[in-house]
Amino acid sequence: MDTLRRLVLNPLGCAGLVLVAFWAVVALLAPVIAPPHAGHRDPYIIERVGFSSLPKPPSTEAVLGTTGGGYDIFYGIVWGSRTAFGVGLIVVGATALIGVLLGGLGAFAGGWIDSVVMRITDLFMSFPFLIAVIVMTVVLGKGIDKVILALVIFGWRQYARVMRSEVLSVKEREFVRAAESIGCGRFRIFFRHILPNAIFPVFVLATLDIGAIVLIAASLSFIGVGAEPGYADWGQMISFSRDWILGAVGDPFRYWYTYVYPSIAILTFVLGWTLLGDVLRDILDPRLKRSKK
Amino acid sequence: MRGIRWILFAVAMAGILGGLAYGQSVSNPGTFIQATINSVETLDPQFMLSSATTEISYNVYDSLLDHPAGDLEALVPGLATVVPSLDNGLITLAEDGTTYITFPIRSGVKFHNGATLTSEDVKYTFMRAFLVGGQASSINMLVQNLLGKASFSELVDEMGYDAAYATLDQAITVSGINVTFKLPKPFVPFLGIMADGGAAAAILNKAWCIEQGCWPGTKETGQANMNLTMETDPLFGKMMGTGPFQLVLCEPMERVVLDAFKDYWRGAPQLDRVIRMIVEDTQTAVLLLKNGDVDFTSIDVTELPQVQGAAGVTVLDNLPSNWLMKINFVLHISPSSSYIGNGVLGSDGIPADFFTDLDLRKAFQYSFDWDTYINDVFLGAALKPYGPVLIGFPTANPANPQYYYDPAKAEEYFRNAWGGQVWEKGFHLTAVYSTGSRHRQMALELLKANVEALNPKFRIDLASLPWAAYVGAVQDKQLPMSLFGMLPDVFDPYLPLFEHMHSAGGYADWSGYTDLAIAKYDPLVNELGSNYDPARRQELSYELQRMAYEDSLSIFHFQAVEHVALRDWIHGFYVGPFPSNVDFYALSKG
Amino acid sequence: MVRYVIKRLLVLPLILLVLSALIFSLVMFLSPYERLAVFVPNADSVSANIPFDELVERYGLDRPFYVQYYEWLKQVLHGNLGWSPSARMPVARAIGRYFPATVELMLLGSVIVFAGGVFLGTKAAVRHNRLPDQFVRVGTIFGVSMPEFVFGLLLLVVFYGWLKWFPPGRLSMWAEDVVYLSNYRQYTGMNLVDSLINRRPDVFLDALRHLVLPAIAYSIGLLSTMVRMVRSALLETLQMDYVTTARAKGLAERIVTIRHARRNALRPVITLAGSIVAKMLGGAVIVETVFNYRGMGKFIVTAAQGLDFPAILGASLLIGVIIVVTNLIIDLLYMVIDPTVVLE
Repeated sequence: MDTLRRLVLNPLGCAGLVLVAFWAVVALLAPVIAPPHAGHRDPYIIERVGFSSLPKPPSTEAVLGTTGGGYDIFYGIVWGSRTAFGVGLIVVGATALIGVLLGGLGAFAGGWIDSVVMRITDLFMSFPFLIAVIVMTVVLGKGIDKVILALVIFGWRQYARVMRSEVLSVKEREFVRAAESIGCGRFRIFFRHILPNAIFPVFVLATLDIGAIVLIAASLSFIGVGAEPGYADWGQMISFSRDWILGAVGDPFRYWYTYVYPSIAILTFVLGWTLLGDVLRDILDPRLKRSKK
Repeated sequence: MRGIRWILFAVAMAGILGGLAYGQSVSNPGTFIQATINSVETLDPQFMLSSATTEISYNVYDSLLDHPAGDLEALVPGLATVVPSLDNGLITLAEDGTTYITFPIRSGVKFHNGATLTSEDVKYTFMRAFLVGGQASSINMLVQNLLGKASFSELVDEMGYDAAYATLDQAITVSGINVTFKLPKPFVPFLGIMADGGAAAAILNKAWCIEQGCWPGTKETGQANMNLTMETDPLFGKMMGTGPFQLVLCEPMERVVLDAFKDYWRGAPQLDRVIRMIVEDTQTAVLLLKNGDVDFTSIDVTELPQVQGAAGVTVLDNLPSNWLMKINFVLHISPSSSYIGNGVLGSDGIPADFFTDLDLRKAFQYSFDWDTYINDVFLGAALKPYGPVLIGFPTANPANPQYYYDPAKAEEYFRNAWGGQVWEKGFHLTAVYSTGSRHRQMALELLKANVEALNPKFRIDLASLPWAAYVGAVQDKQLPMSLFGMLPDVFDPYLPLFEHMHSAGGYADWSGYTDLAIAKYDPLVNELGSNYDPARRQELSYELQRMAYEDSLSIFHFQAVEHVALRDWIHGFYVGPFPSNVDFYALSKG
Repeated sequence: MVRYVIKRLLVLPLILLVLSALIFSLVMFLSPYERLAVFVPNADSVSANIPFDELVERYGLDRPFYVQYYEWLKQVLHGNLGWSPSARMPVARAIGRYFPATVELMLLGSVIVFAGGVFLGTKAAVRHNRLPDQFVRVGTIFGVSMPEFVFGLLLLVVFYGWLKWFPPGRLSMWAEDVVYLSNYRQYTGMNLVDSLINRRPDVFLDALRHLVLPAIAYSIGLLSTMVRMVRSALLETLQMDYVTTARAKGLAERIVTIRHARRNALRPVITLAGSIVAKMLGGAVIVETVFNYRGMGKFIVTAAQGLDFPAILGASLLIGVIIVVTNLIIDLLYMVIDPTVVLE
């Protein structure tokens, strides 16, 4: 809680918190702020306002305008925040969990278990990430869940590595030796003594990673490998706007609303998490230093 | 740090110097540059599947006949000196129907490598075409009508290679400067197929082909040269013809460069060089055009606002194109399909033979809103078809009965469908489109919105498949509705009618109405193909179009219209059947 | 040390085998028609008349997947990577064409990232909490949070659409004529290098001009990360005990910085080098798409989307080799820089 206090007092950290909190509120209140039509089955499919291939500027019907194809931008941004949180939290949560357990336990156990874990990590490292993700989505079909799956499968190794090196160093510390010498069970040592001390870099990594994951997912949607067409996903919304970036002759910014709003959404979302992670790292750093010595 | 500063300086200088170079009036004089998104799948005319690629062979090769610029009904001599007809005796019909068509070959025509065209080249060209088992639909139609089978390898399967080769050898004979084709019965579109100006009916040079590793021209070597793959086809990356331009360079995914052939038999072209570059990003192509780096590109309807009014650019919009799209009802869906739910009519699915009910099909027809589709989705840039015969084709019938959007009628037919069960129990199916295909997606979205509005028990889910998977699913009859069209490259009603309605046309099999076709349509289509009498042909065509309406096997939802944008300094452009396929010979620059 | 290197390299063929087998096994999930589609071009201009079944047979797509894998393996062991229908040329040739393009882009990007990163990071650390530092901190946060494709498109619109300074593609028309059609010889496939060897400084400048925007768009994220890493590593060491001692001893500030602090700042740089390589191999897709720059990224995506297995496998093998070798080099570099690092 001391950490939280210091976070709020730091201006950048405060800014990060505000941004993340803002989007959290939007995501939670999505059904209220942008209610789907009655009979609209999947709220994650962006509502349509007409079928026009041309984007329409903000109006009473669509507060932020529509993209080409009649998708309501406001709706897409609101529900897209849910997608962003979902993808970010699930992927980071899962990869951190897997990485922490594999790397941590491997390092703790040492010996051949550690080697095996390292070899598996290496193998996954050699997998060309993009190819694997794309082939997976082509084979398994489009959909945000396939993207999440692919990102989880290929995203845990950095946590494994970090956790491993942290555990390796914490393992040698005095209080651990002491616990061992009085006969504490191995699991108890790991979960009560080692894990809590080794976990800080993982927090920092996780916070920064959420932003990175959302960016990667957006890029995947942008190149057409990712969410189904019409799904509320910010990356996809920007890919819709590709056709309109040049505007019309003599009016290059005519369709600004198709790319400005989703870009701001992604930028502020990722910014929030990055600021948080940064400040968190600065705060936890002296503790890191202390724990290292 | 100094290193960085030098680099920055060099970069800035390069940028500024380059920027200064943009002051020119006509960029790249003498060279015509076209930007396209279509990559080249092969340079062998027999394997060109995409109509955009035929643009290249059209300009590099010639065929026996041709069309005058922009007029697709008239025929003029090409590499043949006279257009064969019943009147001039070059077409003769025997009592039993055997038809002989003779082409006198022009003398003095030079190939790009200096060789002279002979009638032997023509015979070799077509024998090779049939041997290699290409996919050009016009050639396949030729095979069907010359040899009686859908492909040469089918003939081999039936009668053995020796007999098949003998049949082929006797079907095309050479005598002096004449080449004669012997058909078992009359085939009216034959001349149209020969008149594609150098597409699938392109005439190759025998000696050059053999040099490149193609079939040596003998019976013994024929079998080894059948059914080529991309990898094994010597002409995959090479072309050498009699056309106004010769191939200089082909990077299949990047650019094709053609140089003028000064000794072209019709006279040297006005351009010096043509570059056809692949630009996959439409934004970039538009930017290039506006900057003058590119002279011509085809424009999507959504990009029109970006080019209309731009300095130095002419936009030609709403040019009719030979491309008709339809939503095909699949009458017998594969029971293992994941798009029919539980396979039982009701809130969870549809039966595999759902679309066999005529009332149901009509109900769907009346649910499609053409006006919204054409005006909103295409921004007015598409045409509502009359039926299977494309608008602009001979015997296309504007008075053909048609469907139109009428929710009241749709409801009436839905209530009658399957004896009332559809209305009572509802249905749930998944309609699939190929990823990235906006027109397919929008068509299905519209259909879904209108159908679901009639009855809350009607549920249509939408799904997208990557192109690869979409093709697979259609082939495997997994989809309740397939969205595929027709691109007839010969200006004859026989082609679209054959494709849509004949049992061997492809759609009958895909959509599962082969039996109906054999019983009802085949006799008419066959007669259409073999009867030279224009009045009777029109009668048959009208009848078939009417049947298409009655049996409602597909929703003809649009005929495409193309838009192109070109620089003002290009002259001589005329619109062909596929407007973005340009006849470079007619152009000049500056 | 040599033994260590050999041990690491021995694992390589095993990794490649497992990798290729895993990828190829995906064929099991696909129907032959799905793989056929890459031989049949774009969705819209295709009619129903194509003899799909016959084509499936012709290309051998309906054989059991282990048969197909075995055939492929045999071919590879003979040095033939097969034919790529999506690139319409042999896989080896495709890689030979597209890989140098991406390498070029990566090289220029790396120059920006490393030089810019060290420069800006040092400036920021040395002037900790003063104006340059604040500026750098804010700038890098934005740099890391910015979606690459948005940035790329904006760059294109401003610097090409409006200012007309930097065009898309790899070379201008006239330069392409020189490269492909005259007696210019390609040695490495990289325009920057080849043009100098061929003594064509005009082509060099043209290539450079085309590389600027993609390189900037592509490196903005990594540059920001690098700056932050260098900055924080330097900050950490500048405050460390031995530096204070050195200062106390009276060593000039500059020597303190360079000799001691920079050494330690190199560690994160090297770590980042590893992720630059990883990013290069797949991540240039977006930039390559936006700027119409044909390199490995685009090639891979097109191959993957078309289920072009020979190409996918060929590219994966290449990438696998590069990643393993790069990791090895990085670990070796760590050993050189910091002898206390223990490798197992």
